[in-house]
Amino acid sequence: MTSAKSQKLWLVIVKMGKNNARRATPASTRNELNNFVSCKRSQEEMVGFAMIVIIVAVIILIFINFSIRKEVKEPVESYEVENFIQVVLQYTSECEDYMGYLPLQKVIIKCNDYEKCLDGKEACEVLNETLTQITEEGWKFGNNSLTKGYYLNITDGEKTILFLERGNTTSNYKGATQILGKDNLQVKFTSYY
Amino acid sequence: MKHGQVKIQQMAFMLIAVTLFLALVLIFILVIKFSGLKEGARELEERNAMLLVSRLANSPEFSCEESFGKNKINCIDADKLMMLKENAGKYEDFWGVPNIEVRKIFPKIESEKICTLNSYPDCNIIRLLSKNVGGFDASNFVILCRKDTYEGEPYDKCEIAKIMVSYS
Repeated sequence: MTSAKSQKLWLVIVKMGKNNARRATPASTRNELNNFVSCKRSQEEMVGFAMIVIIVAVIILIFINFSIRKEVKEPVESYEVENFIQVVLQYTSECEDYMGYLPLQKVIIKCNDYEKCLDGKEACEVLNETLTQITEEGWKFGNNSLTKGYYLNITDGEKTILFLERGNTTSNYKGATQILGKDNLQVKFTSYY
Repeated sequence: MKHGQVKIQQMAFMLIAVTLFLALVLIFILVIKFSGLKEGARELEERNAMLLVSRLANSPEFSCEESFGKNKINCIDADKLMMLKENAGKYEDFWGVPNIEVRKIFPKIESEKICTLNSYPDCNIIRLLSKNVGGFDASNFVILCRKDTYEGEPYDKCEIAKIMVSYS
């Protein structure tokens, strides 16, 4: 290497050193001798830009997720099922005894004891007819309906007093149970949607 | 063009781009926020309707109290309701909803018959408030009781009904 050339190179190095004092990385990928130099600036900028794009995309996705996500209203509410049982038990049936027309709750007890109504009709027959009609009117089911099916079960311990099942059973359902004061009588109703 | 001028121009473009981007983000956030508000208001109304419908039958204006025996829950006194209907104007803003009606579902009456003092009790719909029918509604099962007679003897007759509340 000649002394003139080495002096020029030294000047370039000094100049680059001065430039490096202002910049973290050189602005150009070539030095003043037109040789390639190691330049990480553009790479860093690209990485930075990519990170910004990713962060902005994530933020936008979060916003979109929040805006799209909606609370879906349940077709059948729990209180409807609970109320249905309570209401059914208070319904005035056609079964009469010496005290007058009986609510269904008392007809269930009568049916459990294999008793008859005043007109000679079996209490269980009245119970079956009445409950079938009430559930059919109260819970219309079908493919076009929100309710797909239901089942009603009245038990006394292991003994089944009445079992009604209509429509299809699905994985979405709401159910309620009402225990009657006497003899472990239990009324269970489940609605499928 | 000198290097400095290019840099200034570059910076100006960058500033414009950043400002535009931030403005777009701000608009996007505002749109989402306001659409959320509307949705929130609707959800709140729906929840109110459901809460109202689940407790309305047990409120003093509707409930059977002890007229039809003790321990009656979700029981609506039909006679009381008919009288309330006659004075519905006074209760217009009391419940904060435009529509409240009680619809008898069992025993079934084939045609819809709105209850008036003349048609009661051979009717199946008691319309308490009916400003604008439509919008969101919530319903619940209730027992609709009244005093009836059979061969001259009075007895309590309780039928199955649905109470419906709707927002326009």
